[in-house]
Amino acid sequence: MFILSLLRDTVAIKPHQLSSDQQMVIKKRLNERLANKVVPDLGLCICVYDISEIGDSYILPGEGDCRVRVTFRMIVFRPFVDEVIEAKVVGSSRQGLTLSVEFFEDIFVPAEKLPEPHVFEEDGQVWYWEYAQEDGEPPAKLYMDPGKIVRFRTTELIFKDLKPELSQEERKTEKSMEIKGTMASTGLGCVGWWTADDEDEEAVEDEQDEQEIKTEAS
Amino acid sequence: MEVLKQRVTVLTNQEVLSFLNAVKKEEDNKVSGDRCKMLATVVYETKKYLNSSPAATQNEAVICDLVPKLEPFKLTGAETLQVVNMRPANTTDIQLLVEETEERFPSEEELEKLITTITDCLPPPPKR
Repeated sequence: MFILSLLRDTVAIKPHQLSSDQQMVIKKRLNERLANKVVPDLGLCICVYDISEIGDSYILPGEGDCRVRVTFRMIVFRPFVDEVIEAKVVGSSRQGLTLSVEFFEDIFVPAEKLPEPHVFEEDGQVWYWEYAQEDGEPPAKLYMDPGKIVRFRTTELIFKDLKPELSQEERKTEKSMEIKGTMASTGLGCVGWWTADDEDEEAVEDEQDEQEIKTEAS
Repeated sequence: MEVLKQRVTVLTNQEVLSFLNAVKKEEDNKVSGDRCKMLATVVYETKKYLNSSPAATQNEAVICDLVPKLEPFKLTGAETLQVVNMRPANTTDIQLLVEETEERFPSEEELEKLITTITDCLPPPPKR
């Protein structure tokens, strides 16, 4: 999910900041500029990891700012293609599901990439997976409604260069970074579909372990 | 701004979480004028996500312990990263993260051994 990227930028330090710790000031300026922002073709910047090099500083004629070229490493959110990620369903429409990982919400699983066979329920605007039962009973409806935790596999990263003069409405639909995913494979989809039984077993095992430790301790 | 190298290395979720915990502490100690609002938001949200993931119960030691133990299974780098981040605890999980599981792990014993190696080293994820 996360990578380290090596970046270079020029930072202006105000005269009144010259007396304080240079590293701190530079880190703060870089975080102000980049934290929580998407860099085209790179990913979503989380925060500055460390500063590798601070170049010579120079002062332009007519101003008091001191400018330095800084090489630094940044923690960037950039899933690789085929990476499996857990996320929460936040939106559901006929086109597909919108997922969120709290700090990034532009993850989209198109309808054709939902587990087969999938059905859209107009009533609640929710998708369910029609899971065929073996013993002749009617198929189970496994819902993927908002709030559920699901797993998806990253299929594509899309970057778009957005013009600054977008209207409010355009800003809502246009995304500078979007992750496309799929849920059509064994193990993908709601976490509960696949893990329920095993987790219970594990919980029992853990309890036993704890009891053993207690008896040993006493 | 220029990108000198897009990917210097990959980070596990645990590494990101512990780094963000340190950043949070540092920010809390600053006077309010020195804080960066954007940073606070993204740190809070990322931490919130990671704290409900298997990374929350991991530490550097358990990962360093696990990685050499995975060597005999010949996982790729990306697969090892996924194993650490997701902590697969059953065969379905492994099949999801490891490509062509059946060809690479033809015997069930081998697969079981991989799962126990992972679950023995990495603590169970936090309960939701």
